[in-house]
Amino acid sequence: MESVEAAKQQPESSEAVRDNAVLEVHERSGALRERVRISGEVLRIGRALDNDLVLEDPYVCAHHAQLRWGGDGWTLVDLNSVNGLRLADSHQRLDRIALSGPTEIRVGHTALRYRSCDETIVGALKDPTGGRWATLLPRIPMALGTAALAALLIALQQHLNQAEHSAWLPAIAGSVTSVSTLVIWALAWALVNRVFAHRLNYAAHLSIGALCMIGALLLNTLVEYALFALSGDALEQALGTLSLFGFLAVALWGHLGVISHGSGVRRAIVAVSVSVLLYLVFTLPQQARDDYRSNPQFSVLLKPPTFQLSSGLSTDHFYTRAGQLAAEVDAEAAED
Amino acid sequence: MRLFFLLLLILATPALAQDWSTEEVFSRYKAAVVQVRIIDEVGGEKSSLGSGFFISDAGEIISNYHVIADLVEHPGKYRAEYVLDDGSSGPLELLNVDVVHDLSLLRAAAVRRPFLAIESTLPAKGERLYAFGNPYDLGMTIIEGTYNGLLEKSLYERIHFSGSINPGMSGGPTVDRQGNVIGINVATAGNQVSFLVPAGFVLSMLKRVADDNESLHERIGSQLFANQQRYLDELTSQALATATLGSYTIPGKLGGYINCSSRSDQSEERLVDTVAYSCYTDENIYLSDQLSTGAIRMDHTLVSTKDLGQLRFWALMESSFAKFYGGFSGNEDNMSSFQCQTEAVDRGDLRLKVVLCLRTYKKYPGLYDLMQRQITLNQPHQALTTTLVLTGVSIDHGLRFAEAVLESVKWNP
Repeated sequence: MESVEAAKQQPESSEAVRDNAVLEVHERSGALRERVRISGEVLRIGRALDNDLVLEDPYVCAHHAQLRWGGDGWTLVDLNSVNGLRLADSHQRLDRIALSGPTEIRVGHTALRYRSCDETIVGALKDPTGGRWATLLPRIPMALGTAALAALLIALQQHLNQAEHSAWLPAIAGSVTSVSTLVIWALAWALVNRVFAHRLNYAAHLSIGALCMIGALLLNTLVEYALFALSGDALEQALGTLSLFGFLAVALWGHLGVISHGSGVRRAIVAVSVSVLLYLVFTLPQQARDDYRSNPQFSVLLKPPTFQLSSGLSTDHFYTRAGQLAAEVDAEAAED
Repeated sequence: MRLFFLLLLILATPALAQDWSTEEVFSRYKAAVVQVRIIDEVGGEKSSLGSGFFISDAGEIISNYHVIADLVEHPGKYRAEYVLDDGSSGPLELLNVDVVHDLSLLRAAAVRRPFLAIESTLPAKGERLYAFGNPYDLGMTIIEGTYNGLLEKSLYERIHFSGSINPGMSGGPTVDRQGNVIGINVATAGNQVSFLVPAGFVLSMLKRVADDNESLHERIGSQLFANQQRYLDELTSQALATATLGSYTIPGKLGGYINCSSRSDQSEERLVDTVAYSCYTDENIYLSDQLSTGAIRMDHTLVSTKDLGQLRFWALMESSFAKFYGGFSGNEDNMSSFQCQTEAVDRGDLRLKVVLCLRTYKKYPGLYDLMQRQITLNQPHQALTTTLVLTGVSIDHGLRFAEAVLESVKWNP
């Protein structure tokens, strides 16, 4: 904050004005290549090595232009160069450009930006990499631990669904398959990370993927037992889908956070939007196809009976509801 | 036992009180038998073949319903033709049907041919009978066989005929030596095991006066409704017959026409013991090549374990409970989609989870296919799954029977 206040102090003498400016050199992509503090009476610009500012640009002459102090301000003067001087937003060639405020100039294929040191500087961003999770996620033991826990939970879940003596073999096979998918998923995100942020961050992406897999497994199990306890079988499919795509959104949010430390809200919007889009991509074609099935489709939650908490319907009540079901079937047939 | 529909034909004048040789029977009655052809209106060629026979001098012909079902299911797309023994042919008009007994009444206008007499009195077991028809479109054929009584395990009355009826003979007559029609060829199980519709049902169909204001589908719907009412009223008029499966009492062999079988699997490789008990009817009512109805099926499976923990056992039950194949026929043209409800049902003495699914017949409103699958939830290491399938039932009769099945399952600690 001190540097900001210092920048805001007004220079009082013409020398102070003269020495209170910088010239920035930008790539065509907009990336800053170099920043030069302007001082003295003249700043020579060109491709030759005897210039004060040497530009590595084949469209710039050996001695292309000079920045001259006129007593009350700086002027950029063309030295009869081949391609001359142009303002950034104009195609008109200029011999001289008076620099009274922030100005962007094109010299060959290089962009120069004249700036005063008095420009207001925005406050520093808070560093999100200092949080507890941001510190833990990139650590290799964290990544390996979460991946191992995910593998264990998947193997356990697969084991529960087998009734043969050799139940652990298929369980381990299923677990290896799932963890391999997780490893590839994290690698894909690491490559994206490498492209956009110049580093892999593989451990962080693996941690995020594994944590989301663990979360989805545990939440799904919890939801199933809760629905069984309360006889809410009808909600299973909807909650299962919500849980799956919810954790996908959380995973996307986390991966994007590792790549870019931008606004969390913006990341959340992107993550949820992508999840909703994937949900539509996977479910709409199925709904549009609307294949007729001659056999009934249903799924029922079955857990150890001791987990059932709510009382069931009476037989009369059940068959009264079945009568209502018949009316719904009739209504659907009438629509067809 | 799987039945294959087929067909045949023959001829005769009213009953003669004389014994004839097979050669004489054929020569005397073949003129009363016709081939029935179903012609595709667009292609102009036959799409299916069967047989039939004259029963009056007004050109009335009897055949099977399944021979002419395309006329009912796809009106305008097909027409029916008769072909006489001399090769002449002409159009057939559909007058009436009896889908429950697989019969149809047709008329060949302005045709006067010898006709056969219907005999509703069944012959003595072992009596020689002669089946007529046109198997595989090979020409008029006579098959000699034996009357072996009515099927005992059949929901729909059928004569057991020991003779080789083949495809193309369906709808043809099977006569005694005097030329009286004893039955109408309808199906075969192969190896000279064939089935006939008792001729008495032809008389019943002729007695029923068709209501001109009633469409064929409405008439068929009424027949199906009355048929399911007949056997479901009988089944629910008293407590269901029961059997025992482990510690459970279950609905068992409900009637003579229901076959029951059991099978157990106590493989050491698996960690559960399974005992299955199935009861089902052999015959369905043919409605079209894509849809049949009138079946009752009930499967009980008792699964128990000593080696599995509760979590693994119930994970297994959850997975196996959802794996259900009912073998339902039909498509979206004639049936709605199944809709299901799943609830926990508390009977006081027993807690169950029950899935009940229904779909309706688009052309026969008021009739449904019903599937009820239930599992007991009273034991941590043992579960009884019961599946009931009823096709072509009214909602009242279907639900009443389904409730009787649910109530019949009892736990005997």
